[in-house]
Amino acid sequence: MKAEKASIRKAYTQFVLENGQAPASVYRFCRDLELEEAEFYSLYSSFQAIDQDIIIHHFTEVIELLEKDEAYQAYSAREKYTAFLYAWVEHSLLHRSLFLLWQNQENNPFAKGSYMKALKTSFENWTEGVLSEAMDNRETIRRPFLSEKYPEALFLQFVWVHQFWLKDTSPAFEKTDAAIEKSVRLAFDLMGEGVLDSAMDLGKFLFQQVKG
Amino acid sequence: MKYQEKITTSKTGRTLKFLGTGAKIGGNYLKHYAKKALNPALDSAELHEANAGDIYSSLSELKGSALKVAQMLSMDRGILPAAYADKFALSQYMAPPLSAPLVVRIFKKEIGKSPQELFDAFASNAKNAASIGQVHQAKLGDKTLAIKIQYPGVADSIQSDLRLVRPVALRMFNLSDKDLDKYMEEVEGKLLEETDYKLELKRGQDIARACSGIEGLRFPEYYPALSGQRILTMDWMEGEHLNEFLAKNPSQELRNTLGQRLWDFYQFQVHQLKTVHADPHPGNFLFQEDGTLGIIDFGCIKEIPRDFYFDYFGLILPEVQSKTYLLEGLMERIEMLYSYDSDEKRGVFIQAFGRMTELLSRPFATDYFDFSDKAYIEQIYSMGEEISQIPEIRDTRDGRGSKHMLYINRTYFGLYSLLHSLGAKVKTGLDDWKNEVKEKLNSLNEQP
Repeated sequence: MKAEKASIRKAYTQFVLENGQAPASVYRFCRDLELEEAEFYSLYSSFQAIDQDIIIHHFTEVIELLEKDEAYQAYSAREKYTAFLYAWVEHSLLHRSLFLLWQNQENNPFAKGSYMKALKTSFENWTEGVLSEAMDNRETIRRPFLSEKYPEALFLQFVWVHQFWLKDTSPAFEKTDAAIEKSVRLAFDLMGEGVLDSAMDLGKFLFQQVKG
Repeated sequence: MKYQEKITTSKTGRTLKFLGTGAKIGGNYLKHYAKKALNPALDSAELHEANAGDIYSSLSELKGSALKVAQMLSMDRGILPAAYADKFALSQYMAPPLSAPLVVRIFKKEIGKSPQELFDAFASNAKNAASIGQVHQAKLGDKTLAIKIQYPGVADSIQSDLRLVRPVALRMFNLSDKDLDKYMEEVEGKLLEETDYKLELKRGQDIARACSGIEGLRFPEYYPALSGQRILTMDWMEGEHLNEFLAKNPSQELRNTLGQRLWDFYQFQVHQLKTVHADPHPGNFLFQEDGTLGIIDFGCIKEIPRDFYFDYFGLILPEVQSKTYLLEGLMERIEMLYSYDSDEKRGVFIQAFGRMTELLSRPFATDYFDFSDKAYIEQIYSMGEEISQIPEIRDTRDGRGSKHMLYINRTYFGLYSLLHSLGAKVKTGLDDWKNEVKEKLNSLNEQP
């Protein structure tokens, strides 16, 4: 077998899904694949590195698919982000079994959704792009200290949606759809101009009056 | 523009609302018993009034299916206050529009392609809201299409609403468990059917085909390949909703023509098809100046069982109304009277229900009927309240009336209010169905 990341990811995923756990050793895994161990290590340092690569690769694919979609280009930031979440749960179907397996493995460092952490940087970079667009057209508001934290906050929401989807038993994941709609609305309502800003504005004004 | 993407208020929110109602009712009972301790002669009428008021104010904030259930039940129990009846048409899900990405997702799930791939043009902002979904406009070739998309989770929210409304309904309508279930089942079944767009498509096609002989009716063409469980694609129908149409001051002649079309459409369905479009609210009809009537939305269809049909419409015949033993027989068959009712109670019920039947069937008794008659419509509204004030009826714990009556009464009630708003004079009396009902009843009466 030729040593390339895609085929190793594929063989590894297949093994994990069939056996319910990672191969016993890299040695054993390579022997079954008729692959030199050295070649394996030139691409991945451990099985965990494959786990991480699988999820990051998946994320990149989802973003690429989105960017290719004409309708997506015309969306507002709120819609772009919503479309991302839908695309995510839609394409994650391919990996659902794997995610569930990770989720339930007690001694796996990836258990309980921590595998999503591998995505944090890529996700935040991507959201920053979407959000800066949103700030420019005032869909969301720049606030001192707070607005820098928006990507991090959205990441928490993203992980929450992912977990919700994994636990969702409704037909065609209808409840996940509702969860996405509701939580995105709340997130963007909070980031947009609202009561909070009016209150701050009044507060600042009153403070200045006292000072003056 | 704000994309509010929820289906309805969350279940927790509704639970709180209902608990609020429960607490208030509890409070009313307390007040009642406190007063009663001082004045033992106080009857429960006052309490009922206070309760009904609180429940209505609570339910009116609830919307959704809970409200629909309450309305359906109260129409039959005659507790519907006149002011409330006017709002009947408004009982819809007050749901905010779906986001554009969700619309795409639903299309992909249902049909496997995005709307951009399926249509030449697709308006991603909804044109208007249907009761449990929203309507988009699209173009395909030279056709303009209307696409109804259902909000996700509607069926779920109906079921949870009904579970929530049950305890309130039990107190509100003073029904026994068994009898409440009888009605709730009927309503739940119909509400859930409305969430099945595949069924709606089939029924729309069937009724359009069956009614093709009636002059001046227009039905949309449906497109099964572009439809699914939660997506329904049909022709975009031209025409105006009742309010817009009336704002233009149409001539009396035009009103009469359109009223006649409505009447004929309903008579044909009830008496020939024995299957009826049971949701005659103004949003489902499109009026046009050329005197044609467009009919959309076949989500709520009531199939009328044959036995029930003969018993129910038998009540209307003058031959039956003049003979107490015939009247009583039919009333027992449609569960308005029970064999265990005391003679005294029986007398009260027969009189009250007889009066109700006479009033509701008045249009059938003459050749022409003028629905613009305000006094008549007001009488119908107030009759419910009057009947509910009769102590024997108020205090009975049995459900009076077969479950089939819920949707049939609602249909006529809705039809009459539509015709009233339209101010139409309609040829009502000349129908052959009466002979069929008469024959059937005669054959029943000949049997020992």
